[in-house]
Amino acid sequence: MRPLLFTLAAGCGWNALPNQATTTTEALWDASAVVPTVDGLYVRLPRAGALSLLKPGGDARRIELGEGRVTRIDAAPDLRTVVTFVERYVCTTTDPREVRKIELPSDCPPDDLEVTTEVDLVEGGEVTAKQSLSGAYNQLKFSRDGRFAVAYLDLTQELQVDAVLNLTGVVVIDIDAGTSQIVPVGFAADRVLFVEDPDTGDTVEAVVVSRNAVAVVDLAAETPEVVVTFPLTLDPDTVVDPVGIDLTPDGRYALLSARGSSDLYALDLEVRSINIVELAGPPGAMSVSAEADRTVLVYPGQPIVELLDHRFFDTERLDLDEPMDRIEMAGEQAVLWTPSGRHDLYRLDTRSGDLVEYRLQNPATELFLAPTQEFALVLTRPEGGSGTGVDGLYDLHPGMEIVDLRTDSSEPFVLEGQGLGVAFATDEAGTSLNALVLQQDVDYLFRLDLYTRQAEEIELESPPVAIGSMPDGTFFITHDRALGLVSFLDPSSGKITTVSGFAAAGSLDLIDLVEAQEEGR
Amino acid sequence: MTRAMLVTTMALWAGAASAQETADGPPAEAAPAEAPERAEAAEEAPVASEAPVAPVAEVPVPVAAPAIPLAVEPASPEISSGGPTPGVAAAPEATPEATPEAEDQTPGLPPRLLRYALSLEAGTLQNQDPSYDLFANGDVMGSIGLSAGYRLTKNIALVGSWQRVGRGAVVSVQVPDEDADFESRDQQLRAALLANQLTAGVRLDFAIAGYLRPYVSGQGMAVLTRVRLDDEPDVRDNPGQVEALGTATGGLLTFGAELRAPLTDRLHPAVYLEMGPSWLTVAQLGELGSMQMGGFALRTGVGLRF
Repeated sequence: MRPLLFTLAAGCGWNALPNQATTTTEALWDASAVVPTVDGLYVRLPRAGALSLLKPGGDARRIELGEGRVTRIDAAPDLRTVVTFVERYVCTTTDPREVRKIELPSDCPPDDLEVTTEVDLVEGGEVTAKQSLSGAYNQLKFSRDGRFAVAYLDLTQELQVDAVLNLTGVVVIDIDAGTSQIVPVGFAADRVLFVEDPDTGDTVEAVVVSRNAVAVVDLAAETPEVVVTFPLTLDPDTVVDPVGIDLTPDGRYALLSARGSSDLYALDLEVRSINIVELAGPPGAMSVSAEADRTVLVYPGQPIVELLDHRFFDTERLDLDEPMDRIEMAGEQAVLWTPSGRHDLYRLDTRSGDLVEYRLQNPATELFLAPTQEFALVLTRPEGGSGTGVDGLYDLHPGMEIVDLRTDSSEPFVLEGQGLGVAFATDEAGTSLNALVLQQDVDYLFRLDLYTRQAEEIELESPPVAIGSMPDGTFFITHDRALGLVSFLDPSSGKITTVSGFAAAGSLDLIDLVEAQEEGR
Repeated sequence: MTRAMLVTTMALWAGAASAQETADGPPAEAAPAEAPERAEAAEEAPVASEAPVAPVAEVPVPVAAPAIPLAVEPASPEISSGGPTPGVAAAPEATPEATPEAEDQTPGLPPRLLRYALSLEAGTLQNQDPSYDLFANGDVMGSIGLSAGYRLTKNIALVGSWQRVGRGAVVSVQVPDEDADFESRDQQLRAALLANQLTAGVRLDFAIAGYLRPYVSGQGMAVLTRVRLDDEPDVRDNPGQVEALGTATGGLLTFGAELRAPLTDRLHPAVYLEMGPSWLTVAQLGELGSMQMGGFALRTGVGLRF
């Protein structure tokens, strides 16, 4: 009788229920890929296949996108529109006995499951435009004025081939007109730049980089079309695989470096010609300084940095102690660094060519530039070792170094947990500049005034995952909580408001199939 | 609970069999001509098992002679239970006029109609909704509860029940290792489902051999469901608790059989087993979504008829 009574009692409360272990393979929300907009913070809900819009005030609203799975979300340049890639599933099984049993995509025989991809533009929590798109076009690049978007293949991500795919084309989407057009540009296009009219600022051309060719697409024409194609090689047996591309400040030249090649291609978009510049070696990174009108190039295999003049394409070579492969531009200053285990960091004046070396205590993992471009904040990782004293302490712990780009000094800190992210906050008068540092598995936010070095710990509800800023200057912090937790921090008052539980929305409504006739409409 | 109920059920079945043997005595050949009617009436007005039993060989009573009543109250020959048995003294039985039931007896009904039924029961209800996988493994919602009945006629009774479902699970949410550092980012949450199943309807049954009653029952059904998801279950009130309520309505059609083991003429322990299909509307659980319960239902119980 006792087990019976126990079971009766167990039915009376939440805490005494049977405790089975179940598993779901899809997270309820994605804490690392959120999109801040002026309307709020958009969050992807993988299990429900939906989106949620969170307001800093504490509201959360699930956005209806129909049956399907939101696979990724991106922000448009207007900071208002969110681009969502939605997969829809149709089961074409015709056997009536089978059809009755099929409710979810996983119930459908793989051969009968059709997947289509749609790009939905969401603004203010509502879908404003829809475009069908092959799922293979997994990346979308917007022009700065937000009028055009070009969908192309991002080969760094997993591709899904769900239809016959033209690997030589990109899809040009005119967002204002709501039209899309496939434009053949060359094999495996994977990078896009937009050229603006220097007078009006309107987007007029797209430069699409593909293997062995660069195509210029006229976006001002009634139908987008290729106006010129620059072949990067005339030998079909040779493969030129672009690594980096950038436009000169005047928009006349497109500079392109290729993998494993010491040639730099300078494509003249006005005269339609190509200049080839011999570099010191295959570059690891390339960045254009608009202020100095020069291009900075670093080489992972050589401890040198080169400055390329945009008028005559002459290069100036400077020696380093260690090879670098990352560049961050801070106005005229270029910060050279590497995450590949070295300790050096350099500041290069791109106009004068002055070079300053900083020595980090531990190898860098990430670098963040302050919006005032006065400081660089470097997160470092522990590197082990058996040293003693202060050096040993640094070696054993993750750290953070503040590099003062004005005084050429740096200041190291030991962190409690590995640094996850940094955000900066400044007041309107510019009298303070705060760095907000997130640490892994640490449930407080470390706030440091970079001018006064005054520090403060801001308690968080839960260990964080990521930090970012909203267009209005409010900061958001996502947390490692299954049902969703986001903290919004007002930097002026230090007040934190939280939104939680939003990821539960739709968690019992699994992603269903789209009816075939509905899909056909 | 299941084991306890099984043990209880077996004990009652065993008790039922022995009690029936004791009360009814040897069947058939020794019974008078009106035995069939009496056998049916016996189910409604059984012999008390405490009646003294005399050894057959030691009491030479004529076969056709009526039993000698040993009880103080006179027995009615029309409603004597199971018929007199040679060598077995008839149990003390009340006449219809002597019992309260008989006083407000509905015309046409046999006397000692056991109007009331009360049972403790357990059951299962199918739930094939994929969202239920969050709360439990398998597609069955186990439940326990109570049922009650009121007999209108010899073969018709009103029945109703309440059963409570309680399921809980620790859900492991697998988060992909996107930074490939081989460190688990899996999250956990607690999922719980409480449901109250209410049924009410009619049961049609008939008696076989005095102690077995096959039946069919049709009932309306309502399931009041409450679910809770909690990603910090160690803290009683935390912002990561989400709750939702929902109601599903429908019907339940079951076929079953009840086995009775009379203790006295006015108190019969009983066990029963029933099963059948159920149909329910979709329960809307607020922002969380919906759940479609229903399907095959199985119920069993032990109780008293009086």
